[in-house]
Amino acid sequence: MANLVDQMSAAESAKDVYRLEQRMLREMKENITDQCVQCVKCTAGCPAMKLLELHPHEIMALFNLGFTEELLRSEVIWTCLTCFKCKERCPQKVAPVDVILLLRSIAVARGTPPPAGFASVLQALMDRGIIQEPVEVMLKSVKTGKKRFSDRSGCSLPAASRPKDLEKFKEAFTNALVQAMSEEGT
Amino acid sequence: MKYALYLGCAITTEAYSYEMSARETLSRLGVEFVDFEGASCCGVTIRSINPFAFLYLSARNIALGEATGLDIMTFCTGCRMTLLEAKHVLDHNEKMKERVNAVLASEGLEYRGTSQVKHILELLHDIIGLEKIRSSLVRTFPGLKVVPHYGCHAIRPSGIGPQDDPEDPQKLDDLIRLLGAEAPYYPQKLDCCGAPLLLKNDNAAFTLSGQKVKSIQDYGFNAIVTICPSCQKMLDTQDICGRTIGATLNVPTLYYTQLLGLAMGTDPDRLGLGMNISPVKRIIEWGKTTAPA
Ligand code: SF4
Ligand code: SF4
Repeated sequence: MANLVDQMSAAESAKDVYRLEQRMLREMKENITDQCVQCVKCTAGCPAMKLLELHPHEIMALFNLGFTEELLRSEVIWTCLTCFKCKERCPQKVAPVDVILLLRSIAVARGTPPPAGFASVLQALMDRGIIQEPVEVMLKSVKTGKKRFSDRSGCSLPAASRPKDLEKFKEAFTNALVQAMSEEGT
Repeated sequence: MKYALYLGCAITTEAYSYEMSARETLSRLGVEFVDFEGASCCGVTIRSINPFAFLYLSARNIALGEATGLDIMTFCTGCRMTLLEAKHVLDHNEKMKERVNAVLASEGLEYRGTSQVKHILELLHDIIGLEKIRSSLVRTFPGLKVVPHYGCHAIRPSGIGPQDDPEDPQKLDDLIRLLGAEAPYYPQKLDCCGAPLLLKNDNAAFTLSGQKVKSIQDYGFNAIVTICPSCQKMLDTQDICGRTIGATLNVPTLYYTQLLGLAMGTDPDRLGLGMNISPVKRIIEWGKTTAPA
């Protein structure tokens, strides 16, 4: 897996990535996060607050104070559920979730491996374009109680749609992955 | 009513009962689907680690759907949000569209932005409409208390496409009441199923789903309906989330299309109801086996 993350971070010279990062972070700060008034409404509704101690308002404060490096290294940015409640509810139209997601992508672009689950999903997409091969499921008849394992066709479903030319897909997907941190950013 | 059907990963590879029940019920309501070839993941899971690759994956699937000349229909809320977000970016940022199209070109694809992206909740509630659905029903569920689980990505973020109220959604509530069941309010209505945490901390993920099901069970409600394969999996596998929070959970949990199919009189096996893990038999038999006094 390391090779995929490496590929993404090796796309641009370290200096270019650094310059781009700084620009993205500055824009995020100037355009959005400066408006945060620390009302804590975001944290009050955050589903990861109690369980995982994710406090979006604190992330905003730290971000605005310039603790970017600390945030990039912290585990807590990976606990966000992307429920978008904080974005919806913020009275200042600030979106902690957007900052959290930007921090994640910068961390990965620098070569920090994402949590194992993310890495294996990325590898699976690279290998086949979809997350897993269609599995056989236990099909229990409600009427007769009979059990059998069944694939899609056993469920009277058409064959799974998936990339036709996997090599071409892989080439394009790799191309997209390495472009992530190039000039225009997202 | 004809759509290009984009199923995404979870439904294509695992959540067959959602697809079975959706195809079954929607075809009875006059909806036709074109199953286009070549689809890939929508990109939802890599959205936060590689924003450009996420845009590329979503655009790729939209481009394939667009080639049919039809609007695109999704059943998964994750796919819905992801495709709509990508569409929003690409339709408002010409430069980004060019960059994405440069990558798509190697597979002979082009994102044009000519098709709308829709989700089954909008299809049922706003496009087909309550009246038409009502006329297809042969059975109702009087007294059945069914709580809706919308799923975060069915209703947020706002501003990317047509959707329900992000803070007080009502469309699934309406669709439940349409079947003669009750749709009581519960304070945990907007709580997340926990699925996105599976990639980082599955114990925390199942704690969130377990807590949600537990509160619904404690209120004494009879069933949960979902409109997303990930939410359904989190809330239906109550052996796992129950164990995680140290509780015995048994609240029947089913896709809205499964409940709708039952109300249409469809054979439960054609709705994949034998695949649900929670005790849905109670719902299948609701009102049918009134024991003599
Ligand atoms: S809700 Fe908005 S303004 Fe209030 S603390 Fe959170 S980010 Fe800041
Ligand atoms: S999007 Fe993330 S930070 Fe915001 S409320 Fe949801 S879990 Fe918390």
